[in-house]
Amino acid sequence: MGNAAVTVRNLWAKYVGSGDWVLRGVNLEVREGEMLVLMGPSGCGKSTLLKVLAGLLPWVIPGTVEGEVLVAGVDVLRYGYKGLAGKVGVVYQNPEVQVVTRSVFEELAMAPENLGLPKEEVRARVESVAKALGLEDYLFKDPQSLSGGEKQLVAIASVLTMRPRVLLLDEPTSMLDHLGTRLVLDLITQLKREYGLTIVAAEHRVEWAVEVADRVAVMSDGAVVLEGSPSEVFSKVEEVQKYGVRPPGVSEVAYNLVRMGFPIRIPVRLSEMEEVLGGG
Amino acid sequence: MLSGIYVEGRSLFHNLDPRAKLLWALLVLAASIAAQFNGLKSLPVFISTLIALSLSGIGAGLAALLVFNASVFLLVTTLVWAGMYASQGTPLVTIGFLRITDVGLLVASGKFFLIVNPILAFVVFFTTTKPYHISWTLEKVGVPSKLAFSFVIALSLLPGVVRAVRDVTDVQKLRGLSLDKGSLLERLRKHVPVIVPVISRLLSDVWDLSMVLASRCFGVSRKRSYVEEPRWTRRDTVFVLISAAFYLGVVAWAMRP
Repeated sequence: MGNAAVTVRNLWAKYVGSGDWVLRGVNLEVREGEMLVLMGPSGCGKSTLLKVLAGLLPWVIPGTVEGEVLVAGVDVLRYGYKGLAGKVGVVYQNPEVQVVTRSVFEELAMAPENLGLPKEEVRARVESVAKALGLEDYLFKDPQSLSGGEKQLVAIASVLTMRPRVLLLDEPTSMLDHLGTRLVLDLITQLKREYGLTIVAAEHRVEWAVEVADRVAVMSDGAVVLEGSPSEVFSKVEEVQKYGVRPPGVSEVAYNLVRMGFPIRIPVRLSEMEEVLGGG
Repeated sequence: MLSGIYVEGRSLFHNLDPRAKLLWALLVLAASIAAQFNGLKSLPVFISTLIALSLSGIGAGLAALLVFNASVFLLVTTLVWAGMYASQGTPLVTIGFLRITDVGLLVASGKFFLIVNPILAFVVFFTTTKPYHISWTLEKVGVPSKLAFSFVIALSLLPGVVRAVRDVTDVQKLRGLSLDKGSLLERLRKHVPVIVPVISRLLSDVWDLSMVLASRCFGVSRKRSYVEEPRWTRRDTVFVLISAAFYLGVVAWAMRP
């Protein structure tokens, strides 16, 4: 891991009209090439944190933000989303609103076109992202004819053509069926493992998160209350549950065994459970 | 999301450069304005837009709907304008208090064509030009990039509005809302449970869209680049020359006393 790609210090944020702070003194650091998964119950501040990191709050969404936020070397609170142009890609929950144009090609070309890049460069980026993500056969299809999962793949691809240093994912699978979820999670895993992209993702799929994430941050009431590697975080089963996050199934089983008096360590992955039970 | 009213096709109009089509639509507008007081002189313009409509390949259903709506509008303009010019010219028909004269009929039909011709021409333009190319065309004629794209977004949200109204109406009907019973005032009042959710849904969609566009660098560069730029061919030149000759001829004819 290299230098810090995302640094958040003592971040406080609230929306216009909301009396209470939604984020309360968040501190966070994500290093280059690292993947951080944000977890926590609805309303804990995950999406708000991502909106601040993307330069949308308070630049597009009115609100008050205090603290220090550096993303890809840009002082976000000073320069907003325009300062992050081309450096940060954001993918949201709803695939329907993220598909903006009439063809997958236009969709992938949109961000680099907005940056005013030469058309040869735009074409090259579209083709290389489509090839890397296996979307070559989709290029001239109408995105509206695609499934939810495929649309979300296109949404991810359309931010990758900016060649961002940081990818922010706001619960990208929450509105998808099982198949669509699998498609998107596999792609994010590929982006992390093959391309070493810095990723900050809010995601509920805990079994997937422990396999892919370098670190997990659990949020509650607008603050990061637990942070560390998936093993460090989810071995504290009782604490994790207290904050409204479901730990991996294997951790819950092992935790119950510990409570019954079995002297075992708490695994977070299925492969570790096999080792714990002596089958590995 | 931004499908607009574009209809996929391979018609003559689909294959023309959007600038040629825009120029044609503006010529239709100019000729209709020039001939607005004489329906007879505006009639060739109307016929030309009908021909364009049939050549645009947008489908007989949509074309028939447009022409039907236009004919309803003709009835309204005839009643209004013929009534206003009832004291001028030779009376042709008298229905109760309404006296339709030859002058009134010419003005009424001219005003009808003034509204309908440009509508049909721009329908042809928008249904045969991809939103992507509309934005490109507007930029080519000097509209700032941000404004051009915003216009395309606004235009493209129209089908979404129609879809939202249909969806919400269906849901409210399933909940027992009866929209087609009662007096006019009562029916209007019954539309409140439709209008409020529609507006709320549209605001939410536009809000989400604004965040997506901000994240995709919208408005960051003063000038947007376009990978797929249409090419001006000889066919476009011929089309523009024929159109200019025809519509400027109509303008000259209309200017003659």
